[in-house]
Amino acid sequence: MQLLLKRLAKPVSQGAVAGVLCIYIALTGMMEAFGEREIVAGVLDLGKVVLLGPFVGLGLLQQQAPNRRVGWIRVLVACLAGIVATGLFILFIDAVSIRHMFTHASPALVAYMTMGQDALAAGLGLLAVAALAAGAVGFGLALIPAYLRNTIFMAALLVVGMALLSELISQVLRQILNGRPDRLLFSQGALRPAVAVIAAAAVFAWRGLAPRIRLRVQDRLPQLEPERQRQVSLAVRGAGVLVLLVLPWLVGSYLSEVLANVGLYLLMALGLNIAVGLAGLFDLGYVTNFAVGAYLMGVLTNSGPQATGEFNFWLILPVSILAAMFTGLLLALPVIRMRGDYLAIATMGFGEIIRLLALSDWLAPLIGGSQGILFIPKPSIGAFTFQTPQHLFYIILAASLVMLVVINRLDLSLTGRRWMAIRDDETVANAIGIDTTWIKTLAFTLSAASGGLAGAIFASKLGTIFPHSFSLLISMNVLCIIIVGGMGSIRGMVLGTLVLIGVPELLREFSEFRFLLYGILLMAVAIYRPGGLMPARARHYRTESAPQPAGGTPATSSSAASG
Amino acid sequence: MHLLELRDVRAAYGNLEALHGISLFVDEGEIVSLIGANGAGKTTTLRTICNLMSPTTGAVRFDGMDTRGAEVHELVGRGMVMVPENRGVFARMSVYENLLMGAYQRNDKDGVRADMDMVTGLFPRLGERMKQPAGLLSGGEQQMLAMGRALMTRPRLLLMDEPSMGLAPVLVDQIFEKVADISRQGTTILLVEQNARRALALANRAYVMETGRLTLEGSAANLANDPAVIEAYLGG
Repeated sequence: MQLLLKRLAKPVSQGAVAGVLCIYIALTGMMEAFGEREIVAGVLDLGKVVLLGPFVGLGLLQQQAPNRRVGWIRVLVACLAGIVATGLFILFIDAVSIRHMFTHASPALVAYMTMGQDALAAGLGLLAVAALAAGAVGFGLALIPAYLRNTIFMAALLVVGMALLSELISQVLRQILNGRPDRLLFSQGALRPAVAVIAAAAVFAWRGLAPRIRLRVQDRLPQLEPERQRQVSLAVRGAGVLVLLVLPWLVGSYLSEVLANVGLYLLMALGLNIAVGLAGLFDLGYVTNFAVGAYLMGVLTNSGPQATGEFNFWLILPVSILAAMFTGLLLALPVIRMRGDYLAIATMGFGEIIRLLALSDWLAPLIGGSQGILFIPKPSIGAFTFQTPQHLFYIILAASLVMLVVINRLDLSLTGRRWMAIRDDETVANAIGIDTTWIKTLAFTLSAASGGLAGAIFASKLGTIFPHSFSLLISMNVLCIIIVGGMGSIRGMVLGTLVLIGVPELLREFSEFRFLLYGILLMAVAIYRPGGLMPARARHYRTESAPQPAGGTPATSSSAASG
Repeated sequence: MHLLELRDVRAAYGNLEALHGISLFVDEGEIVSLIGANGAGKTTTLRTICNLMSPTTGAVRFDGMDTRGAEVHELVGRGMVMVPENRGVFARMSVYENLLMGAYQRNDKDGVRADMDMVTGLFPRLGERMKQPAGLLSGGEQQMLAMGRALMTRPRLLLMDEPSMGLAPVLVDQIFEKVADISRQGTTILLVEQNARRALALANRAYVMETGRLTLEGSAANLANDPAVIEAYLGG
């Protein structure tokens, strides 16, 4: 008896955790909100995915079972434990109203979780059956070969992704083709069942062929002459830029706006990456630079009550950048000797100071206090004004591309290496003769430039700025991008910005839970990919003038490719 | 004139005085060892010499210059460099990049390349591992890299903090041979060591340090035969 209990303790606790996860998702309101988003029309909605997902996970967890029979028993036990926990919760909120604390624990939630059945018992029974089936599917997935399992995951991801991005896909299709081609794929934002099947089948077909295709590309590129390789990479880059150029007209006004926001955050992430990613200086007050850029642009170009000069956008743009750099330099001076956590707290203080200064009555005559600055003109060249989000996208694209090039050069430079040296070990860097004070000040100052640029464009794009736009959250968001994307990795910044800023804007269901999801994502990244989604590449290949290894073999790449 | 001279140097961590008046000197071309037990103040002495800490009283003179107020990197520029305790390599940078960091203050590309060849000549293992991240090197190789990186600054005085720490005896032999090689190439060396036997075998002169004070000094050969030293540091 005791042995039996001991053996069942693990699946029971796993099941309880899954149940608690379900309850948590339900109480935050996510389940109900997601329930309104259909994935496959008439078949599956997102709420069911998060309701039954934990049970699939329970099945997958039993992969290590010694044999199938034990595995099935464990799946059964774990799912039952999860069902009991979830069921008790449903019975509880059905009997006792806890809505004054948890506003989402409503009859509607009970109805949703009991699959819309009238009788509670029937609903609970249906939920139990569905949960057991989900657990069985999970364990089934655990039993099949990994390649097949991954293919199934990819197919599921594609179907869910297509459904979630239905608006984007519809928009693009409508721009390219006449009529309403999107109606073939979607019905009210959900995939048509036939389309879902075809998409999944396409993934299977591609995964069947992929190993062969990939092998060919990987083998052939290094075999080309260096000159040809350069041409290929140039062509790829050219095509990328071309796509970016036509993008705003493909995706329409709303998504251009989203892309413009992504671009602004990318600028900030690239800038902060100099301080945090390269030099290892934890700056939690990055919003300071953004605010300085925005307010300078606002004050000097607006034609409202705070009008001061009404200068041209293009004239003030470099001034904003210089002002942000100067602020960066000023703020660097007092904190330059601080390290790690102390630096983070001090810089966080600066971020708050700048917001309070913007709010203060003292500066109100100049920068408007809580009234903000109004009537900031859009940028213009001659008679042409960058009025729509599509137009503004190009300014932000140009700024981002310039910053990408600049920061890529910095990353490769000797200065970049010095930053990395102080990141790895500041005392040693100092001991071998690196002027750490100067090199850290330089990191703060250059890092501020990009934030100022983003702020200036932000002010002009919005036309109005208010102090509450410059909260601590901006610093946090940018820092999250860097951590999720991969510290010190430029490609990681691009991916991180798309994931953290772009995707939540597209998925309106998620927007309410944005920071909850950020938290989950941050934890997942910290545990499973500590280097970020796209870690900075190891730097040992950079040996421009390094002597070849003594008696070295000609190339290591050939052995790697054949192995 | 001595290359390095400390006159009655006191240094403290907060209220806790760690050096109670140290006076020592190192002449051009010498190998001088500073031996003593854990916590005697050896590392503090080195940190004070290269200004990672400032003395509360007393003076440090390097090459005739009072080092008070000088920045650490200025002293490196004048030819004094430390090989830190526990190796201290930049783990995520390649061996090549680590060496390049040593040449931070130099503009003569040809000279840097020549010194790079000199370092790889002295430590062939580093030449073989130029492209590897320094963090993947073995302990002995990291010590060699830290020494090589310091040599890239073209020092006149090399301060070494416990180069044998945590290394296998066979590697310690190799490291001490390299120290002798470096000395033969004309670099003056101040060596801080717990491994008194080896340090005395290598050095011209030596100082013995106990709880923040120098208790004995003299030629290394004399100290190695001193009954008190034998009892306390050479294991009877």
